[in-house]
Amino acid sequence: MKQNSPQIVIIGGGVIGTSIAYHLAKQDACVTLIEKNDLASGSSGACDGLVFMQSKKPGVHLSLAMESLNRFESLQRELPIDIEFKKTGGMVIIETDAEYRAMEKFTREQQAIGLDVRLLDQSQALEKEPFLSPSIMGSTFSPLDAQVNPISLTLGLALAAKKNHARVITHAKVLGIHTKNNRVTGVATTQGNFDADMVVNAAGSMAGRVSDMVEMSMPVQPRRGQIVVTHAGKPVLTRCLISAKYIAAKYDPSLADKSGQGISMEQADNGNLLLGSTREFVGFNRENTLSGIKKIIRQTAAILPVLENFQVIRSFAGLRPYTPDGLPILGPVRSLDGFFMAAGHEGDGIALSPITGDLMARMLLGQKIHIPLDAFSPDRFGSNGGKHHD
Amino acid sequence: MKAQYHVIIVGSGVAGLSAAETLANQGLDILIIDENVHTGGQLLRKTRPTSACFPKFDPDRMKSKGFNLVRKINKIQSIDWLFQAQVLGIFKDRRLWVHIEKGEKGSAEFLEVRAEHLILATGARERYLPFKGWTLPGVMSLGSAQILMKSHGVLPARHTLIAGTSPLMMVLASEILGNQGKVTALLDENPMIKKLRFLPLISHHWPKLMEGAIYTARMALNRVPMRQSVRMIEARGRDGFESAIVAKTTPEGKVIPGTETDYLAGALTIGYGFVPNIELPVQAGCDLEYQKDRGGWMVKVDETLESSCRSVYAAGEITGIAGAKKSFIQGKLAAMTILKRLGKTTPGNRKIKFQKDIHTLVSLDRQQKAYASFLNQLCQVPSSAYAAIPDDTMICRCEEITMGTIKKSIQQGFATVGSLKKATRCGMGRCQGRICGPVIFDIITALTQKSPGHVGCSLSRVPVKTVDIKAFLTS
Ligand SMILES: Cc1cc2nc3c(=O)[nH]c(=O)nc-3n(C[C@H](O)[C@H](O)[C@H](O)COP(=O)(O)OP(=O)(O)OC[C@H]3O[C@@H](n4cnc5c(N)ncnc54)[C@H](O)[C@@H]3O)c2cc1C
Ligand SMILES: Cc1cc2nc3c(=O)[nH]c(=O)nc-3n(C[C@H](O)[C@H](O)[C@H](O)COP(=O)(O)OP(=O)(O)OC[C@H]3O[C@@H](n4cnc5c(N)ncnc54)[C@H](O)[C@@H]3O)c2cc1C
Repeated sequence: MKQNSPQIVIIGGGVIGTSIAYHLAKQDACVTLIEKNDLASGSSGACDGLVFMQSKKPGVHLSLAMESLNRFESLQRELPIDIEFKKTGGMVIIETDAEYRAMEKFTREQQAIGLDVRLLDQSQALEKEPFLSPSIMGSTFSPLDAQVNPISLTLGLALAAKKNHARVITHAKVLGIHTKNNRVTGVATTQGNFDADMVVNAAGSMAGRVSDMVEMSMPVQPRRGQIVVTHAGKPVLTRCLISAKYIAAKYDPSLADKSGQGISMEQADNGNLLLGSTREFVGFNRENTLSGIKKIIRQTAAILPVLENFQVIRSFAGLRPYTPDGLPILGPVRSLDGFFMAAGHEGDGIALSPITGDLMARMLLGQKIHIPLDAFSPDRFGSNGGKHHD
Repeated sequence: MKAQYHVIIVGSGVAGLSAAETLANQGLDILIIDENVHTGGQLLRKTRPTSACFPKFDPDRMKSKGFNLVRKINKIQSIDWLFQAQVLGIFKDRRLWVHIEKGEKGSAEFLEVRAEHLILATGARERYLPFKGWTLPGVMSLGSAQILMKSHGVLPARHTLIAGTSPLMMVLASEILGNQGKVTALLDENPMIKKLRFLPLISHHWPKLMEGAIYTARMALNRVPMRQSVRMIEARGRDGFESAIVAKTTPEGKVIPGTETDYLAGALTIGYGFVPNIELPVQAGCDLEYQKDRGGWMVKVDETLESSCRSVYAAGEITGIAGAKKSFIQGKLAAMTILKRLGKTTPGNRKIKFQKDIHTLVSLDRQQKAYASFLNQLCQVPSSAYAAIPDDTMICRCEEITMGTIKKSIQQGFATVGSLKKATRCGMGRCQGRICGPVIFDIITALTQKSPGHVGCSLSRVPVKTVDIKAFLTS
């Protein structure tokens, strides 16, 4: 570790916090990550592992995702454990005429910026995934979409950070942030105080609470997602699937309730199917509901009828860090020196974690950045934290 | 069936039954749910007549009391029953999600039902100490062997080897002999001194002492070889169990090299005591506590058996392993607590007597603690046994995770049950950690010496048992 280098404290041991820690430690920075429970005990340990490109609108979001995708392969090599990254390709399943028309338009916009995505009719879709229901209208397909094991990714990033001399402290909850002359000087935790020249708020859906500690309002809200897991069965899916309703639900919360939640499906390396998910605003409640579980199963089984030969072994729920404009909050906060935000990735935190870690490390170390980041600035919400959604 | 009941009892073991008896005939709507085909739980798991070879043997009269209870309750019309029905989850406001194996249309069905007061009496399951080859076909738990014989009338094998620390070893041996089977040997981990040292704990429980003495005499009469201070090292066989390697241990429980011997048999049955079935209480949101001398993680209850969740009560083995008598007492006590809260008193009882009954039950319940302590200490293997499991031994059977993988992850800092699960997938498979969960807790504790609260407990989520997706589509 470099002498006299600034002390950086990261709050939160999810995929975002650990990625920042890893990218900083790789550059010999002096970094301490503080997590109140176990690593990956937040959303990063209770989610799917889709690295989906074609679900994103062309623009800053998609370019960020593409930058991120390119980094997964090197992470697969660098991290000390297998993160199960696979470029499986992905499909958006279309069930109605209206969806077909909407996806036609959506893909045309994506193709215009050069994204490799095409529309398939019913028989082409079934050729790719023979277990799909013949009742679907068709699908889109992109070879770019990939999947990864989100827990292994988070733990792998943390282990690699530790190897590069980052301190990773678990079961320590940050209770307050010390400041002096409008600068952060450290954090107070249940395991004592830690000095810091810079503090990074990577507390996921709880980032709003952490910002409140310095009387700064950040509009991050928990948005619950429930997932149902089946037993490890024989392979029935090669690619990851989402429904066209998912895209609608993602960009328009009012549609989420009307048109059903929109589902996602993937089969993990060892054969478990992950069926997801709901999108609900219910505060910090992480419980599963029977109606949520039933809805997920009915909707996924309609698309993949072979599910009737599977068994449910468990369910779980995570809290996505939602922001009103659907973009993460990344970068320094103007009103408090040394305080940085890295939260609010909603349903894309896994996919965006490599680029987020890289960018944040550069920002923290004062290095040059090649991507315009204004759209992600914490200051975009105004002094009072901007408009609250919902 | 109603959509809501005054009281729902999950589990029809002796705890559930004695609760039902106390609650009956008070004008309350009562529902009992059990996943089993029969009432009676672990104690009365019996569909075949007792063997002709041995006279009925029931020194503390638990079994006959149990059967009496079943007879009485079967006559009560006002209780609703659901058998072969698993409670898969408990949601807010004591709403139960039940899976009925054969519903009205003959296929599986779901049912949602709400309880104003909920008694959880889900009993216990067995604890394991993994060794090389313990996943071979033909190696089974004592309880599974009992079920084979009691429910299906099948011996585990012609020659059965019995090993472990559990008092059930003698019970099983006796049952095998009664069914004209052969017991190759009874291999007890415990040294004789340990047993003698714990004896004072049950000096007031003479039926238990007598039970032990009679079983021992029966083993001697039938010339069953009995060895003490031995540990199972390996189960061997090509396609199924054929032989076992066993070694002697020091009084501290360390294996003495060079003392290995082998036993040939058709089946190996093992048992290392019991752990409470806490999955449903966790679902309901009940706080847990850890007490080594009472079986490990269990539901935390107050004196009158209410859990940390209002109107959710726990009775029987799930509040600490102590055998049938405590389950009888606690079932009744939980029911009385509810009656008191509802302003009901048992027929003919005036309020004063009622209060006194509750006091008596509370103190009776407390008296069971000494026996509980005896039972659980007897079953405990020394912590060093968990630390010494060889690296190539399978720990999580569903996900095929070995001791070597687990040790490596613990060294990397994943030293809580929750983080180890994330790092290795142990406990994420079909059984959701019901078998390996307590083992993993013991391994982490043995290797890190951290407190139970720090190591934690594997927390289940809905559904607590696997369920066919078909059931969702037909329901
Ligand atoms: C059902 C579901 C499916 C999803 N599917 C996908 C997908 O397919 N692809 C994808 O890219 N993304 C997906 N996501 C989104 C993804 O999970 C999140 O965007 C991502 O995990 C956010 O990571 P994070 O590190 O910001 O938050 P978290 O993982 O929640 O980490 C924040 C951490 O901060 C800790 N913390 C909070 N407060 C404090 C404090 N005061 N002191 C110390 N520590 C604190 C928490 O304990 C937590 O561990 C899904 C999410 C859900 C719920
Ligand atoms: C394998 C085994 C064998 C035993 N054999 C003997 C013996 O031979 N003699 C002896 O004296 N003691 C024996 N015991 C000890 C026994 O635990 C006590 O004697 C006593 O029977 C416990 O009563 P209980 O009511 O607390 O629990 P149990 O008798 O275990 O009853 C619990 C009931 O809850 C039901 N249940 C659990 N979960 C669910 C769910 N999710 N949904 C629906 N129903 C559920 C079970 O089917 C069971 O019927 C044995 C214990 C075990 C674990």
